[in-house]
Amino acid sequence: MPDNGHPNKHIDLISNENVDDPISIERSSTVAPFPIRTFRRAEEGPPRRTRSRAARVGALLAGILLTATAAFAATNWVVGVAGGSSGEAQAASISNLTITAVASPAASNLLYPGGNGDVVVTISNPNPYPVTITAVQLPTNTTYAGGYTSSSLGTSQAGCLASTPSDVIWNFSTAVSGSSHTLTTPLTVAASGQPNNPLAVTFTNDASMTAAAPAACASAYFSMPSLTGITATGGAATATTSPATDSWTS
Amino acid sequence: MRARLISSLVAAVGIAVGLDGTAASASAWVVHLVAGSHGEATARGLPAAPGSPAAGCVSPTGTQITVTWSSIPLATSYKIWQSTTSSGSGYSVTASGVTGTSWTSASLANANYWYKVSAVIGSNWASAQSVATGETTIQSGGTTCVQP
Repeated sequence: MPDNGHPNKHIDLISNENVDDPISIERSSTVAPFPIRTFRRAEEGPPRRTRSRAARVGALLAGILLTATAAFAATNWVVGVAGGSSGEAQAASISNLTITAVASPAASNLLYPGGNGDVVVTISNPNPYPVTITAVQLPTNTTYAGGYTSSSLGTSQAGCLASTPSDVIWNFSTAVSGSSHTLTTPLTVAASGQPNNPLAVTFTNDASMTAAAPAACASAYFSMPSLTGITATGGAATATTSPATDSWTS
Repeated sequence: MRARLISSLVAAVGIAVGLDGTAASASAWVVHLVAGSHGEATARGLPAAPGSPAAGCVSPTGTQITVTWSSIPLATSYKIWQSTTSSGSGYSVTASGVTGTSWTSASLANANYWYKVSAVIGSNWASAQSVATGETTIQSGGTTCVQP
């Protein structure tokens, strides 16, 4: 359209999407109004209508992806994708294990002066996941067991008390309380409510009686001194079958 | 836009991992022990009395007596009991800490002798006395030791 001598005031609009180098032009008051189309140069990317469509597609894909992945089991997540946001493993104390004295299964190795004998326990795990024990911590070698007249550990054996002393201690215990002793085989106690929990364990030859034990301790049953602790961690593992046999040998 | 889409996906994954943190961190949880946790052990009975004790002359012309017996499992030593009264009474310890399964007396005075044996484990666990040996006599003269 010809310029009327005032190119900046009265310029008719031209709309042509196929123009390689379209230009923005001002609407003229002298012509009938019609929809304005704004053009951008080719090097600025696709038209706005194209970009809007891409955004809608992208959002749709994102929604589909999030929905689908939510259906996966947790172990399918690749932690590494979350760059910059990391999970932190915590060393947290959960519910404690309980180790209880029991008489069954009966011990094969019985105590005598100068000799060793078996210790029988059950281990209970109240946690909703297996717990694996790798070591025990013992009291001192002058912390003695109390003697009883029967396996129920109800009536004390006269002349064979911890205070007598009975001369019965944990084998390999030392003068230092809390000495740690590694189990020959890690023990895994199943999660709460699962088979093999409580776990019955015989610790072979892990009680010791000195040569000076009183004669009153003959045929007695002993409540071993309380353990000072255990080394154990929680997490997926194959549970140990009950009853089990284990020991520490140093 | 692309960058915003990617960051949205990353954030979503991060949240899911956080919610699943239980499985990821469970293996690191430290589990402790309830106070008072303990176990049970059992002791043997006292040792049995030695069987088949026997006394005999070292030499028919000597004045020494040898006593023998059967071994007892786990016994660390034996006690020898001697009586010059009778087979059933008057015993006192004539030797302790005896190892092995035989013992020989020193030279004895003229008398009738009976012996019993007991087994010992450690310092204080002793069996009952065995049955008595037969009488062995020490006397003067050519045959100084007479076995039953």
